[in-house]
This record gives sequence, structure tokens and C-alpha cells, in this order.
Amino acid sequence: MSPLRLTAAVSRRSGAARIARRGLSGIFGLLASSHQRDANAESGGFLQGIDPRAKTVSLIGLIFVTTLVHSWLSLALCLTSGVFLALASNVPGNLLARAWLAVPLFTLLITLPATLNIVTPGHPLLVFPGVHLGKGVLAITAPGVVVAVRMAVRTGCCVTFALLLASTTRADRLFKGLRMLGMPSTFVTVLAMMERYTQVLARVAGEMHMAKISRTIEDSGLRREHEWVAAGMGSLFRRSRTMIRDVQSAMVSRGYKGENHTLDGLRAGPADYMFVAGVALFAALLLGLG
Amino acid sequence: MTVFAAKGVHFAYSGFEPCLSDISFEIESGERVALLGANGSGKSTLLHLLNGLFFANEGAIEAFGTVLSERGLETTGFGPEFRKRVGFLFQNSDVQLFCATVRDELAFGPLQLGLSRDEIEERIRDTLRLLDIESFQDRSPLALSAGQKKLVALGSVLVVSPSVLLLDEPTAGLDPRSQAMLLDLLNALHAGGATLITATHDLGLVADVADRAIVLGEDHRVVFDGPARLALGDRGLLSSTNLIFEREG
Repeated sequence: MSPLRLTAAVSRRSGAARIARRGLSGIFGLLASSHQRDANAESGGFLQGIDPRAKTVSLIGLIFVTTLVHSWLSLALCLTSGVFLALASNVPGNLLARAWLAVPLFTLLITLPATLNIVTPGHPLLVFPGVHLGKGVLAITAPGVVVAVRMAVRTGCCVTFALLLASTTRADRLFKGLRMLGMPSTFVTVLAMMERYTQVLARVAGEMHMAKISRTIEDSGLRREHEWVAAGMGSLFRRSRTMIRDVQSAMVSRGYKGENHTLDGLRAGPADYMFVAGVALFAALLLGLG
Repeated sequence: MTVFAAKGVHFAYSGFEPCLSDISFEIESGERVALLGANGSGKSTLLHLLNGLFFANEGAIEAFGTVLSERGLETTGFGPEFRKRVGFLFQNSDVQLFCATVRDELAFGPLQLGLSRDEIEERIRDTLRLLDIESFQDRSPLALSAGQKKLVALGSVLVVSPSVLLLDEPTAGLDPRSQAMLLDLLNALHAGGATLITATHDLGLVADVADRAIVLGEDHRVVFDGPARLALGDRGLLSSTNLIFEREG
């Protein structure tokens, strides 16, 4: 059964082991999103055909430029280009929706204080009568709202570009690209192993949850459930430590002495150089617009 | 030629009870040896010692006439040579397959041992062909079945052409077809002169992978060292070492 279908099946059950079921849903959700990302990176979209190094430099460059521009036109162009690239690269709508709902909304939430007149003075849009701070009445101001919305839009653009990079590049090619761009080999190796063993441990955690559900006859109460979760975390931590030792043994067994050597097999073509040049021109335009 | 010589080896993990006591044996080149014992008898630990991953607290293990020590493996030319000559197939393929793709996995060992790029490419090609795993060379090991993972793990060992293979429960978790394929491959390697040392508690596997058996008891000592068929026929030995269980009456 696929992780997504299993998630649904597990979610439909009711009664005992609520927390175990919810945990299992989360774990399979993680594995399913990883599977979806890999599948998307293999599909034949526009960005999937670009060399990972060209893509990494270009999209990280766009993120950097997005943080520098202020005008609404520039931000709108960033947003449009992100959506255009996502469409051309067959990025699933649910991934975009997550980027465009969760992250900017969270940003809006943490920038809420900036909308108040005590932080950003200006024309009041909404006054809270009776709430006095200092000499005046607390109010949400028009310049404050502009600051918060601009921040949310900018964050949304940055998240879109990061999502484009992650969802259109297979993890191994992304890491290989990072290494060839000069990122220290040890750092990239640690990143790659983290990516890989997170999934291995998620599977182990999933099996633990599944075993718990299969052995649960009746609801044992929230307190017992919490105790089980804490014990499970401890067990998983111990397993991860054992796994670290075993992985290191496996590496040493094959000649590893602390320095990682790798085969680098990426080749950039004319299309990749054109893509980088196009993005550089676009970034210059954005900076020109301010 | 003596490949391994264990001389009065004692080993305990820090803070734990001894898991190997007074272990002595010699293994000659080209032998097929099974390390037999119940779970927890110290088989896997002994393989780690033979591979120079752990080191004896007392006694010594010699490999190709040189005592295995941490310093010796790290500071002299013996280390890389030893790693080229001795390959270790771990029981859990997930710990052995830590690279992003199957191809990277096969390249890892030769790269660490300093082989030239051309030679590495050639070895990868040969290994992919030998194990018939060319079709998934660019896939993540994580996405493979248990049988495929085991083949890739074996490939990651064979790619450096070791003359000695240490195998920890090689068929555990494999379906019958994958098991048969793996055993055929191991026998072909042995026919080519490789020394096979297999740790297992699966008695059904012994006749396929070993001519000689070293049996570890639950007291972590060698209780039998001789022809595998004699060990398999000795019910008292197998029963006393918890390799089989017979109800009375």
C-alpha cells in the first residue's frame, strides 16, 4: 500500500492509540512528500532539465535579490516568475499551496506587531478604543500593513524559489552540484546522509507506531499515550546512535579515513549557461526597478 | 597462506560483559568458514574484529601476518592494502548503503582507496554487469527492495576486488530467489579463489557457504572448530549452543 493511502486508512480508524495513529500519519506523510519530491524531480519539466549547479546559483541568486528589492512591481515580477517556472516545471499545486499559504501566513503572524502604530506610525486603519499605550490609543496603521504584507509577499517569493530548487532537483544531484560549487565535501556528505537516514529512521519510527497500533486493544488514556511517545523517542534515539556507529564502521571498512572523495559527473551545456544569463538579466532588472 | 590468525582474543564493549573470550583459530586462504552461534554469541563482533573495526582487549588478530591494530591500520601502508583485500558485507544493508545513488555507492570504496578515475569507471561498469544491477545504477539505494539492496551492498564490496569476504547473515531477510542468486554468486567467487567467512545462525545456509565451522557457545568461547558437516550432525553441540532447541519427552 502506498504511504498516502496508508495514511488515509490509518486516519479513518478511531478509538484506541490516537497518538500512535496521528504519529504514523505524520511519518507516512513525510515519506510520501519525499517520494513526491523525487518523482517530480524525475519528471521532464523545464527546471528538471537544467544543470543543478546552474539552478542552484540562479535560484539562490534570485532569493538574494528578492530580499533586496522593495517596489511592488519588482515583488510582483518575482512572484510571477516563480509561478511561471513552477508551471513550466510541473511542480504540484499542493506543494505551491503549502508554500503560499503556510509560510507567508506565519510571516504575517510574526510581523503583526509591525502593523501597530507603536512600531510603524501613520494613518490609522483600525483603532482599538480603550487600549492606551503611552500617550495614544493603539491602532493598526496603513504603513504598518504595507510593511507586513510586503514582508509576507517577499517571504512567499523566497520560499517559492527554494521550493523550485528542492522539488525539481534529485537530492543526489543537488548535493553533487553544491559540492562542485565549492561547498566543503564533509558538509555536503553530512547533508546527504542526514537526508537519507532521516527517511530510514522515519521508516523505523513508522514500524514502531504500526506495532503499537496492532497491539492496542483499548484506549489506554492520554497520559499512557504520552508516556509511550516519550519512550518511543528514547528508543529511536538509541537506535540512531547504534546506526551512526554501524554506518561509520561500514565507511571505515571501505577505506574511509575522514576525507571524502567523490565522482563528480555533472556537465553544463549551452542551455544551462543561457538560463544563468537570463536569470542574471532578470535579477539586474529587478534591482533596477528597486 | 594464513589469512587470519586469532590468538587468545578477548573483547568486551566498554562497560559491558565480555562478548568474546579466549578465541583462537587460523583461517587459510581459499577456505569457506561459517561462524556459527546463537544470537548474542559474538559472531558479528568477531567479524568486526577480523575487519579491523574493533580491536581485541587481550590477545591479537593477525591478518596476512600483520597484527591488526588501530594505529597500524591508520598510519602505515598496510591499512589501504588490508581494506583492498578484505571486504565486509554487513547484515543491515541500510547501514552499508549511505551514498545518494547506487553508482556513488560502488564508487565510494575505490575512491577512498585512491584508484584512478578510469579504473574506477571500469570497475563500476564490470560490477554493475556482474550483479545485473545496471538498470538502477542512478537510483537511490533507499528506493530498492531488500534483495536489490543486498546486491548493491555486495557490489560495493566486490568493486574493490577483495580476496577475503566477511559476510554477516548474508541471506537474512531475502526472498528465496534473491537468496539463491546471492549463494550462486558467493560460490562463483569462492571458485575464483576468494576466502569466505560467513557469520550465521541459519543452519540451513551452512552447507551452501562453508566447508568448515567455528561454533561459538553462549559463553562466547569457541566450542567447536572442524568440518561443517560434523558440526551440523552433532545435535548435542547444536543444542548446547542454542542453535537448535529440542523439547524433552
